[in-house]
Amino acid sequence: MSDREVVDAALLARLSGLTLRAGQVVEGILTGMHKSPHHGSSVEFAQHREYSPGDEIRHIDWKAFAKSDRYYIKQFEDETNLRCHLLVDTSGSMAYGGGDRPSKMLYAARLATALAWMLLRQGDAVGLLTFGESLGEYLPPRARPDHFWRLVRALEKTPVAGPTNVVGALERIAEVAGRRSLIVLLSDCMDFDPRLTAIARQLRRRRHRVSVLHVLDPDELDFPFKELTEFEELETDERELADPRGMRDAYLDEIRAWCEGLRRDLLDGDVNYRLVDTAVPVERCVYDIVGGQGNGSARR
Amino acid sequence: MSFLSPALLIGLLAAAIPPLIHLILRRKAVVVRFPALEFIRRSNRKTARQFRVKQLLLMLLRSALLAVLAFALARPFLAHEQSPLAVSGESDGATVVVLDAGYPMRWLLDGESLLDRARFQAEALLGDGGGMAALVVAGDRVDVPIDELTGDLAAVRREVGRVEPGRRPANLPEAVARAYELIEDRPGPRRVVILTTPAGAARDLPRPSDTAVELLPVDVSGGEPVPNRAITGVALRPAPEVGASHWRIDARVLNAADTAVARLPVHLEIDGVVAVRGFMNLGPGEEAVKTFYTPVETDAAVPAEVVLEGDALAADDRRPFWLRPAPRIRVLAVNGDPRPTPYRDELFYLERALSPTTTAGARVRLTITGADTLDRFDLDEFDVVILANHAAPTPEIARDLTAFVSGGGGLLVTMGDRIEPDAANVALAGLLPRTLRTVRQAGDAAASAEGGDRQAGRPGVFTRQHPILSEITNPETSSLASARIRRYMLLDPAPDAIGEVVIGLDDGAPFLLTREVGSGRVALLTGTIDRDWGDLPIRPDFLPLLQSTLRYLTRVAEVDTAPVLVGRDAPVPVEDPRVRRVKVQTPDGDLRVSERPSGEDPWLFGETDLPGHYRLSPDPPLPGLVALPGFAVALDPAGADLRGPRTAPDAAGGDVAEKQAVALGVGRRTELWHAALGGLFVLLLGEGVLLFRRRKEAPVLSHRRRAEAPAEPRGESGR
Repeated sequence: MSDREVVDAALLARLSGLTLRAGQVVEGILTGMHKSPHHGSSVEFAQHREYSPGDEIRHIDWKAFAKSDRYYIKQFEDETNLRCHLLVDTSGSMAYGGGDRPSKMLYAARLATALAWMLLRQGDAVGLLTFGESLGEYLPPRARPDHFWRLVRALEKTPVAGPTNVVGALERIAEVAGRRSLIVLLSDCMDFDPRLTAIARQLRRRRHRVSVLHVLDPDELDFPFKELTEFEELETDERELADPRGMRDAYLDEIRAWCEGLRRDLLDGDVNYRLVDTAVPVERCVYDIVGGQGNGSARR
Repeated sequence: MSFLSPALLIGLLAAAIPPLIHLILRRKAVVVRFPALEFIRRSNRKTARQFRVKQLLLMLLRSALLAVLAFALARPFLAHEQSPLAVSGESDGATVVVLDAGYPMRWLLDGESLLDRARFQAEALLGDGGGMAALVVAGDRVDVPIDELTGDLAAVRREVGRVEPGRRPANLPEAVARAYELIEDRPGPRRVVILTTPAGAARDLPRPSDTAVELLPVDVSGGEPVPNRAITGVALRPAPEVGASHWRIDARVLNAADTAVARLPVHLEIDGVVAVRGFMNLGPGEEAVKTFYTPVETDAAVPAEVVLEGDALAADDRRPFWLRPAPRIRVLAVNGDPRPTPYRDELFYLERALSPTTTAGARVRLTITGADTLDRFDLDEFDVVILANHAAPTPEIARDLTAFVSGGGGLLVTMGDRIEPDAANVALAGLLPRTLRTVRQAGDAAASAEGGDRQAGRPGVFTRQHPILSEITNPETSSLASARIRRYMLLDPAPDAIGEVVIGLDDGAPFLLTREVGSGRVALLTGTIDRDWGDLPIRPDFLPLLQSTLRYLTRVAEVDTAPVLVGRDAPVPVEDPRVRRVKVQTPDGDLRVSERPSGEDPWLFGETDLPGHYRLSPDPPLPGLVALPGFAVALDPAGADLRGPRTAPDAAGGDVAEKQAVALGVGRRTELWHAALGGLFVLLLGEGVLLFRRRKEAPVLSHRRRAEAPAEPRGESGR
């Protein structure tokens, strides 16, 4: 999978300088992370982390302050109370990328990488589950910096093929995510399984925070085709002959209604939903997310 | 329903183009791998049916568009057909169709030639039914392709379809006579000769010897006016009175119409370039002459033609001819007072004025002789004779001069000390404008109180409208008016004196006079052309005055402009005996060879099938002989008048008009192409409505679409 370069070093460098913004990520997406009922229960020191506004003053390591004249927070293994599960869709439909744009899979992988980078940088644990028709590799959440590269390797080597099974992935996470955690789903949701919203709500009831990043290509949203075309399904190889001049309006109505229905159902269940357009640079998408624009689509 | 251009019905195949394009595009449909196939499937289910119906409608509309276009171009019509039986009135009737195929049948009526109409009418007559038929074609010659009555009407129709228009007027009387010959031997109750021709062409038709034979002329123009205008002739002659090397071209134009025409454009083309434009006003049936003047500057003959504009019969709107360089003015000057000192010689200034350097382009050839050697010359070889200070010609010479002038020659008489007025008056009695009296001293106070003490008179009276002064813009302020005339010949002031004073002196005495004698002209200068009696010869305007006087006096020879008509033998105008054979380039560019006949036979060229210019070149080329004059071939204007009705009712019996009405009914038709074009317009409108409804812009959702113009996606596409 060397041709899938999910790591954009320049992007990560730009994101790593945003300490304050990382705090906003905590407040925005990862709300409640530092108010875990289990914090301080462990005595196994994990690492130091630079103080940021909102941190408990009692966690400041005064000895370190005396040595370095800077505020550091002592963190222990069990105090990493935010556990984030990144669920990345690797089904065949995610292989689509119109024009010069990256495929949806590559875009989702880069976005997941950026989020993981930020979370790991601020000491949170990040796990990964890739899924197509069947579940792919699962990496449990870890907060070690080197865990980042395990996530990257997993994203790079996972094949992109087969049908989508979002519900299966969520069910799997529901089993393994014992404590409250953040679950981020990056998928085009092309399995049209009505149980998606039900299981997302169920996870939310278990006090997990669930965010659905709905990754779609602009071609899917605007349908810019003009000539008579035979469309071939990426997941099933089925074909459909269509004249876009005659059915574009109906297509746009259909996909708009689907996106809106999905968004409404998820938001009703207190599940975050964001429609991600692959024409938008990943960096801007991350800024939108950490900017805490709330639930829903940035491109409503 | 029939078609005027049935071959164009092949265009109906174009109706298959839209379905073919649809099928080709369908086969070439691009394959795009796309994730949201489910939505496409749902949308297709919703819209495909309506869209397909609309597409099918559009395709049918476009197919119909092309089909209707081809249909309209084929010019459909509804023919009111009648068979020969209807004409002859009997089931075993016999019909001979006489088809006029002369060049006037090229007249275009509503975009269709009269011959096409005649063919249609003949084919309609022979369309179906029984009976016998034959065909006579009156084209360049009378031809009988079906030389006996036959029941195979299809064969007759085939021959009708092969008839092409000729280049000459048809000889209809001969053709009708041949038709009578074919049908008169045929026993039967009804025998009909049908003549399809413009109404005006059916003249002087012979009567059938058998009274049972009927002649039915069919007016191919269907009673519509055929207002033809034609150039019926061109006459050429040199026009030295206008200028050196000038020609006068008189083109006769006939308005063969029942209405007058105003500002009819007509122009003269020389070597393919319009040289002179003009307009004519012609009354109904009037034939008038349009005159052009044009110089010919080259040394070789140039092709030229007079062209009429705006006529439906182009063949007779051009009249070709060749313009040759204008002939030189041949001048014989008689020196009555030769001197050994050149500048004192009587003709010193005349020679300078007429030398080639001063008369560049005037083309004057001067011959000088003495008074005693004048009888050695044949005056017919000259155009102008100048008697300069010649005392008095002998009676024989005077008689020759009188005959010369009466025959068109010119005579200029100038004065001097040698003149003997009495003898001259006797010898030139019939030529001089006025009688000579005596030499008078200008400025003599006794002669004129106004002269005062002046020692010379000046030309002061000018008849500006006289052709001799036409080239001098303002004679009163020219150098002529400042010439000093010390002496002049006083003329007899008889009140009944003939002649016109061109220039008079300020004391009222005539100085230059002209008169016409027979076909020729005489000019009398009461002064001298040397400096003995004045300084006129050294005035700058002396040169144009002398040259215009000579042109005025020049014999104007009519040029033989009788045209060679199409199909007639044309004389080959090659005089050089070295040329034994010439290449003849016909108007359409073909090359033919013609050889000089042996003996005294005239050299003729017979392949004159096309009107226009025929160019000649020696074969093989001869050194020093670059080009030969060509000859022109013109259409016979006899067939130009197509006006009707002139169907010679007496020739064909009293009921010709009734029969003609029946026959005209055969050719009547209702053309449908107007309706087809209307249908085309409606179809175009329908297509426009469908396209407009389909091109309504759809909404845009994506981020990219908000920022940029739409572009065709590349996607993961393949075949």
